[in-house]
Amino acid sequence: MGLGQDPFNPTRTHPLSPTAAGLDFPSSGAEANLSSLRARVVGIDPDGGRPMTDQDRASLGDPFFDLVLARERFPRTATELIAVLNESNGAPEGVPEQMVFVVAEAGQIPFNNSSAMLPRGVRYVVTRGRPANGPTVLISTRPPADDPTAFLQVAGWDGRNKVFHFYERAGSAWLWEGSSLHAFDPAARGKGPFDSHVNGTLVMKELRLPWLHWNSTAQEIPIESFPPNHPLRTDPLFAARESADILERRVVRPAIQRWTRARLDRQLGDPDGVAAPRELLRHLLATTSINIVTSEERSRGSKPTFGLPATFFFDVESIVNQLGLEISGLGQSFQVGRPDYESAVAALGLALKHLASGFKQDGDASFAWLVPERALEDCVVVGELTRRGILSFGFALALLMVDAWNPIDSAARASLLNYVPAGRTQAARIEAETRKNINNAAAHLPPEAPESIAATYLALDESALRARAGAELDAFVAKVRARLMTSQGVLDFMRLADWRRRAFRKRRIAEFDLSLPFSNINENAPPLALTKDGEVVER
Amino acid sequence: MALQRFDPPGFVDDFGAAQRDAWHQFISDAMDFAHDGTVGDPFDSPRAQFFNAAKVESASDTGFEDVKWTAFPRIVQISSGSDVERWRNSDASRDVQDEYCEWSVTRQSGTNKITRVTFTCEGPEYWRFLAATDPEKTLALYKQHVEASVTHGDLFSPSGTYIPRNRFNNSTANGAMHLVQRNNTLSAEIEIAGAATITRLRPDGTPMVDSLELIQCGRYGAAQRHSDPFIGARVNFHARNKADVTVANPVGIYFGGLDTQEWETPDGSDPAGFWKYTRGTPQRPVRAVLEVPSDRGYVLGDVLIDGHNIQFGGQIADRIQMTIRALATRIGQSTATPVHGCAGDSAGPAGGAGAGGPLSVSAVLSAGGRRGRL
Repeated sequence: MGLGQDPFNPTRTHPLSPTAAGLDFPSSGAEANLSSLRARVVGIDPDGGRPMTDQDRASLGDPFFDLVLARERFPRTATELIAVLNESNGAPEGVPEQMVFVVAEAGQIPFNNSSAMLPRGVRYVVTRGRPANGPTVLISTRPPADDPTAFLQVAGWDGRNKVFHFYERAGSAWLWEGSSLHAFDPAARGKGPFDSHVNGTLVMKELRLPWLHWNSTAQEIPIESFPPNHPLRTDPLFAARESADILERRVVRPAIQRWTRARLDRQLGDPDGVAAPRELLRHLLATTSINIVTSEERSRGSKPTFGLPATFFFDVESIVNQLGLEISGLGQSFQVGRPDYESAVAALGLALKHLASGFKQDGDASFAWLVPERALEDCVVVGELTRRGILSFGFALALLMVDAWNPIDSAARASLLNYVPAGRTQAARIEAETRKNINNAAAHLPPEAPESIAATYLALDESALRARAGAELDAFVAKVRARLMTSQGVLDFMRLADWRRRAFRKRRIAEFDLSLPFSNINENAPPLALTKDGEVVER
Repeated sequence: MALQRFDPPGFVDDFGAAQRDAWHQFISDAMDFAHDGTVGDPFDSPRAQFFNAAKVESASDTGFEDVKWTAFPRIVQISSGSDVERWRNSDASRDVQDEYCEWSVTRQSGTNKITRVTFTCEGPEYWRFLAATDPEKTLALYKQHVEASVTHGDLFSPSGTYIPRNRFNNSTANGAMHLVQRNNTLSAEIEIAGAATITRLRPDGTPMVDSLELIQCGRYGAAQRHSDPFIGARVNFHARNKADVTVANPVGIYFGGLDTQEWETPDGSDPAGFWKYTRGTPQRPVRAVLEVPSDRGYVLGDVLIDGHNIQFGGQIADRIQMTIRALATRIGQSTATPVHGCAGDSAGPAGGAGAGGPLSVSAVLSAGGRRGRL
């Protein structure tokens, strides 16, 4: 195990390997005077990191660096870190406002004999900021907060450079692991903190109501989920936990917006043009990351019907919320009968499992129909690009309507990325070049090819496209609604949900067995897709 | 020493001495009523861990918790498919604004742009009592806060009875003076807190801890809201911790703040400055107005939230926190035994209202024919 490896959260940490690095970082005690800050951007820097240069240090303008590391303070635990931050509470640059949020995949599973050995997977997010400005320091750790073996990671918003910086403690050293910009550096992409912070901003997988797995107004993480005498029961951070709706509204959504704007200001403001247009349009055409969402109803409730998440069926966030296409009566469109739902759960043998401990709880998660959805960070980029006029409404909608019935992981839509200019292009030319490339390709392809479908939509003026897209989505919704009224239809959609869950598990952002229910379907079963007619088919 | 007197919500200063005394008595009675629970129902009465702070002293270990929730109605959220749909639905009627926060939107004639949104979290009981005991003050407050042209006849029936849902307080367009949605009452707040102090056991003997199972078993509040289940869950947490619990003085629902991060104004100014509390203290605000000062050259509808122009009050409600303050004391000392069963499992007679005095809020409200426990 490397330095900084958390034995309870090995997937959370990116440990130093002292042997590989030829370094000898202390983990505690007498060698603590060797504490330091090093740079280790995974994929770019040596495994053991490298000394920070003056230039590196000058590039760090976030409060965590300014108030802690720049003052040669190297806290080993969250408790120590909070204490160091508290020292500046009265200063103009201080970040006195603190909020604590708690997430635990097993935090809502009752403690009893069958779950006694189940690791609860509790993590804290502690935010610090100035009143009215929102949090600018985000600390992630696990309880107990004074445990020096617990992972300890920090994201700090650098208001000067308009980026997040990502830090991690390893032993008694602190590592600067890069900024938001490294998320798009081919050498660092998907590595280190960017395996989950895929687009360089904050991540809250269960972003929306009911914020499954988080302590929230919808469902608390009760103290009774933990064994008697568990240290968490007296942990002041746990006692101070706030609801996840605050994390969503006051922390994560603003952070995604803030970083997206800063990123686009930077990329679109380059007088030499956009260096990598495909990096931008990936957010329109591909699935760079994932949120997970559920129905807003309990899986073991008594309501005879309840609504499924609309984003399971099509990209409501991009098409409706960001682009503003009106689809009438969407709220009541995806109702499912509880008997059909329960039959499908039973048929697929849904169960929550923790493989290492052997824990198994039959049934769905506490809220029904837990599925991956398109990440908000993708949708926000789509919205910003259209509001800035880089993409027209018609262009964005036309491409989103290609295979619209598969909002995530659509190979058809992703294939259109090939027509986006690969090299540096003036921002104002990106759409025109892409249009031209798609139209040229479509001329030689059959009508069912994604290029041909896209070209058909692109040929319409905005008003006609709006009408056609609206009509097609209305028709699709009606067909789905009809299928949801049949047992077989519900079972088919449940199989599709399961396929999407299996695909999610292959992403690096999927860290915990208990994030999603398992089924009796083979992990390697063929992928599934939804058709325009609301049918579930093998891809 | 027990609390000397329950103050009006937000420490507002509308009352004379007799009214203040009557208000104190009203809240005190409500506390007693919430403590008694449903008399005759062993699964809902008495509520030994709920106490009237004017009669029972708090101990030195007293702690407070500000229970917070989002002002945007959850019931609208779960029945809407998109942001615009839910914002539009939430702006359609005061009857759907059921998170103890209601609002009214003022629009610019011609452009239909929003110029002002007024939010209130003042309970109807307070206003019905004020109107019954001081009609002129009531009218003056409407003139001050809602519309200068309001007349006595707009607010009162020919017989002089106050009309809570008068035309300046019954819609999302003509003003909002106080809460009118049928579940948005102070009585509801106190009743939820009282009912939630009963610790309950499942059939297997383990404690009920989940907000939904607690509200369904305790039969308090509306399970589909953000507020009621969460208030109940937090109160019940303190009760499970063997504390005695009550609602802190002054009993009321309060604004916990507006988050204006990532809002954009045409002139780059900070939109937080447009948010003004117009009733209550800064720490206990009960009325808020969002409006761009007239000298800025633009209006609220020109402000962007997450890139979208403000077109609905619901967009703002998304960013508002509501709060009540719970008080827990004698932590770990309660000897109340958990209950095996749910409220209503054993049918019993309903409790009665408290007695009246020379000036009684309950008597005033009863005279108005309001259905309810107070």
